[in-house]
Amino acid sequence: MRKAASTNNEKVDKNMLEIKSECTDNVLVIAPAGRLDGITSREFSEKIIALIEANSPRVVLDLAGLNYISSEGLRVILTAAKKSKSGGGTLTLCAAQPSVHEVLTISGFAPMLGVHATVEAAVSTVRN
Amino acid sequence: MTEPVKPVILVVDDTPANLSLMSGILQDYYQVKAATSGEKALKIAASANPPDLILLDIMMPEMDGYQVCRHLKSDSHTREIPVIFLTAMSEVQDEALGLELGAVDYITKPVSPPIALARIKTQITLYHQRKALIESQRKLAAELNEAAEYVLGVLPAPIRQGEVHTNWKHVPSTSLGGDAFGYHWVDDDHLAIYLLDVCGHGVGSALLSVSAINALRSQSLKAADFTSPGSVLAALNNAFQMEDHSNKFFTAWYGVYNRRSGELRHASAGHPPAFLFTADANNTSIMHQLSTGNIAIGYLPGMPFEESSLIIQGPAKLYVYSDGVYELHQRDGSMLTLYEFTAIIKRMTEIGRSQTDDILSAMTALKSEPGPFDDDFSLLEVIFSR
Repeated sequence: MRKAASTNNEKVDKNMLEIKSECTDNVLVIAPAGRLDGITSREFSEKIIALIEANSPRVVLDLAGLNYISSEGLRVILTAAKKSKSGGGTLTLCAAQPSVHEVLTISGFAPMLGVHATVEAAVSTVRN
Repeated sequence: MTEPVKPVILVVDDTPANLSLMSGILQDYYQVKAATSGEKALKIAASANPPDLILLDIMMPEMDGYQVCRHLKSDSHTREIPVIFLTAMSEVQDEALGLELGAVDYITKPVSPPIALARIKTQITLYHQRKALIESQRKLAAELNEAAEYVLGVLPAPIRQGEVHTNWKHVPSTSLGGDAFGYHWVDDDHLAIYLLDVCGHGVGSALLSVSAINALRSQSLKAADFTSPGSVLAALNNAFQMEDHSNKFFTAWYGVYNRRSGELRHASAGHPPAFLFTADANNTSIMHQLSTGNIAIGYLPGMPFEESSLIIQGPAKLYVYSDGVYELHQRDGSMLTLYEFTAIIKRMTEIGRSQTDDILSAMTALKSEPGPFDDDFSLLEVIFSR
């Protein structure tokens, strides 16, 4: 098992991952954009754990800007899901691109965490 | 690294006085051999006890220093021995030629003993370090090959007799891969079929894949019913938590075929779906994608693993594979997707015959570059005749 997915034609800077986050009404929405791979996943792991601790265990990962996720990236999502659960919340996913969605499905993450079509749908799931 | 004996230096000069001068400078630190002509020098260099360095005079009758150097560098036995030219001051401008021919340095005459000794010592140290590096690489490669042979030895022989036939293709992307697979009869009626893919490749991944496959093969997993795929994956998951296995996890597919009832029970963990082909009444082949959507082995302890089943009623063919079979860069730079791979397999499959060679060729033809696959390629084919 080497990698999980990549965009087909874009040339993406190998080390790029941009992380945006927003916490509204006790729901934390985190939007990683770029590549979540062996290089970027360590930084993402530290950030996402700190964000959950500082804000809320109710987490939505908005994957619209993510065009690659490797098995290391999946591991970070799992760590974050564990963190969220131990804080009494839930973590769910939304808006995955087709190549990322394929990986989430094969890896069993989609059925476990849920992949919603929109941020709004995901937010209402973790709020309830 | 300690040198048990003095390094050997071969001094080549047609003037005996120069030979004894150099000998005098070197003999406290080195074992000195002398040659008064190019021919003699080449003989000594190619002998069973070659020198560690050659000091070579340029101006010699018959064969000059440049010619000797050319010969040394064109012979694989003597190519690596460092050559230092001994050059009169008036010939310094010609040294570019000497260095071009492969000499590592030059020393001007009249020789200054401390400078000559320092330059010689540097080159001999470099030469010994290079030899040690090459030797340790050779040993490592030999050990890796031995480990790779062990991994290959764990893979089962194809079954060519009876109502179930098997074939497989396994092409590791490096000498040691992270894929392993197998099949065995659990009892008279139940055939277990399994494949796993450890994250990454190399020694660490291979060690984990071999220990997991051995646990399946020897049926030594606590609380597992080896005729129940969900139970086997749950037991594997509890036995191989990533925190206890240097943060490595693996995906897996496990199936059990009951030859009496034709039932095929299966479960997968983070693994791409296996493909089962059956034929309908009109002999049209139907593709079933066998996947149960569990997460990979090692992520979370105590997880239940869902399984599913279907009944095989007529002739059928099963493919279980690792993602390295289809995750490849195509000529246009894009990666082949699972969806596209599924379509290729669906189009080419004929139920009655083995096609592992055809599939390997088809996937090889799609690759943008020759050479090994980006990831380990493992393809397991099971043909059922009912």
